[in-house]
Amino acid sequence: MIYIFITLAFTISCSQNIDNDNSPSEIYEEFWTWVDQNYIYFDLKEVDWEEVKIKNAALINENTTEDDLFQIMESSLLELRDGHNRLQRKGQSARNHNFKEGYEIHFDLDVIKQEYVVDSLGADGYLYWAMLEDEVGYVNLSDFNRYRAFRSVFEQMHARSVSKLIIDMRSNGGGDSNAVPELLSVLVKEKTALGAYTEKSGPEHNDVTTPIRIFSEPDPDFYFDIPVVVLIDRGSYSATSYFAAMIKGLDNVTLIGQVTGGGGGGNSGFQFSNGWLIAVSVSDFYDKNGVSIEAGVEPDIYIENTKEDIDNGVDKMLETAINY
Amino acid sequence: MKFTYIIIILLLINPSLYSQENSSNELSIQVGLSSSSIKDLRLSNRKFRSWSPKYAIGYVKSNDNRISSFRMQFSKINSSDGGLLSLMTIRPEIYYSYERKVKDGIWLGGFFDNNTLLNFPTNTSSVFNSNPISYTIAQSIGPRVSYLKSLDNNKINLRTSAQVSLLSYVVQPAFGHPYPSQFLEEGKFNPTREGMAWPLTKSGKIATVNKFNSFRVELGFFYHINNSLKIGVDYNLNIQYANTRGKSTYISNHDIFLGATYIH
Repeated sequence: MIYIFITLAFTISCSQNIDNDNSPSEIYEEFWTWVDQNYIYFDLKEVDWEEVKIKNAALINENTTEDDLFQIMESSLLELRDGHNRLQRKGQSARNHNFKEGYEIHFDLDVIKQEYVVDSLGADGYLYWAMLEDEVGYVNLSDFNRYRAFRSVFEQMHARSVSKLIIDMRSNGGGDSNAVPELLSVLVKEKTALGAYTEKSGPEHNDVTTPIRIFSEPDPDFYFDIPVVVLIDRGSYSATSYFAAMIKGLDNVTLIGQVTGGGGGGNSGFQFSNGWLIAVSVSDFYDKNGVSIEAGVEPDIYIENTKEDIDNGVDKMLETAINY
Repeated sequence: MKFTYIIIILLLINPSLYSQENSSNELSIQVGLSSSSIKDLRLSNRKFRSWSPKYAIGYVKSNDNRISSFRMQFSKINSSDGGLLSLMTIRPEIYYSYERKVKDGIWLGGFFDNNTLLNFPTNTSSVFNSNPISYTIAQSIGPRVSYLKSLDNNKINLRTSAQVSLLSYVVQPAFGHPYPSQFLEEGKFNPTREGMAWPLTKSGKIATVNKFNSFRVELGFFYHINNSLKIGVDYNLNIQYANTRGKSTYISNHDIFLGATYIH
């Protein structure tokens, strides 16, 4: 009996082959199916993924080269209009969806430092903070990866009794949003729902988890009771959109600028049998009203700079925040 | 889980089971090489093959009619497909088995094991930033059969065993990100990923052979140097397949161990 087991085990073991000699059609099918089962925004974006397959699979034949196939898959993925989606092969990354297209984005931190800052207070990683005229505090975060000093900036600004604090998140392309609820604990007096998280739970398009609300608990030691203005623009993407959605609507908080770039999805990566890598959005974040932030977070007051403004050393968006 | 381990320990130390003559206790240490083949559909549609060192310690308590054994194995496997993705696999395994002699040379019983498979993509691509781990944690029970043979006046021992899991408790991530499904509930979800241990433990599913199967064959050859020491070589084949959440993981190992056993 033992020897039957061994023979069976070897048979099972050897029957699993590496599938890396698949034809372009098979690779495209693998790609299409994986995206079909894992991508979360088909319904929200009203993309007919079947139609995308019909259109693109027709371009594949026995003469299709690797370069051709990569372009066809790139085109298919771009139909989803999602800046978080990625496709990579050795030595090449596919083009990302340009979520800034059609928007005027003009922002220059140097203009602020030269024209508006009266007292530079500090910088740490991607964080810069300073005082503007009329005792207005200013903090700029250009990336959501190194911002551990953020909380101490709140404390410093509070200690200086600033008249208001401007948090400038313009052109912040995102990073790690995990610590945002904790960061906002200094702005809430009671346990406050900041939004909700959902993710794919199965292969069908509507297989998603019940949205789970994410809360911020008040910081027992510190409450920032000073008005806060958050500056956002179309370049504020991903984790910055999360931040904008979470902070929007809190007491004393006003959002000024453009609609953010969105990017509500958290992506998940995978490797196809030909070795190429892909990542698509598999989770979503809803604002306090239950609306997905994938398309962007709207400001309370809409305003944008022109190129001429910045060239002339003027930041109208910042001035609106100062005078608000 | 704690209860299960307590039972195992009590069985191991229970003297009434081993009160007959010719009872022995054996402690073994083994070092070996493992050839692994891994396919984890949470991360890749490719199979990753690699050689890696593997370590094991075991404790066997036996008499003329019963054998109980406790064994821990550990391996860390680095594998690459030669392209964009590399995997680091951590695999701790704990086995407990209990068998009774049914006729000359033939032993029949059961086993319990705790088998963890952790796969980490280790390439530099940011594609896996949000799913940096794939895990399969399983506790299984099932039948085990062994054939033991002694030659040359008990100087040489041959052992062949096979076991297959029948019922398992399997923890695998939910479909999207590698969060345990219990973690994705209101009031429990924490975006900083703190407090995942208990939801992780609770999020497992009972699975039978269609969702989880593990098959293991062991072949051993041992030579007694004296009454208290034997050396030997072990070959183990282990195949495990798990698919409780819609994305399967598969691993097979061929392990060759060299080891020494202290007998008293």
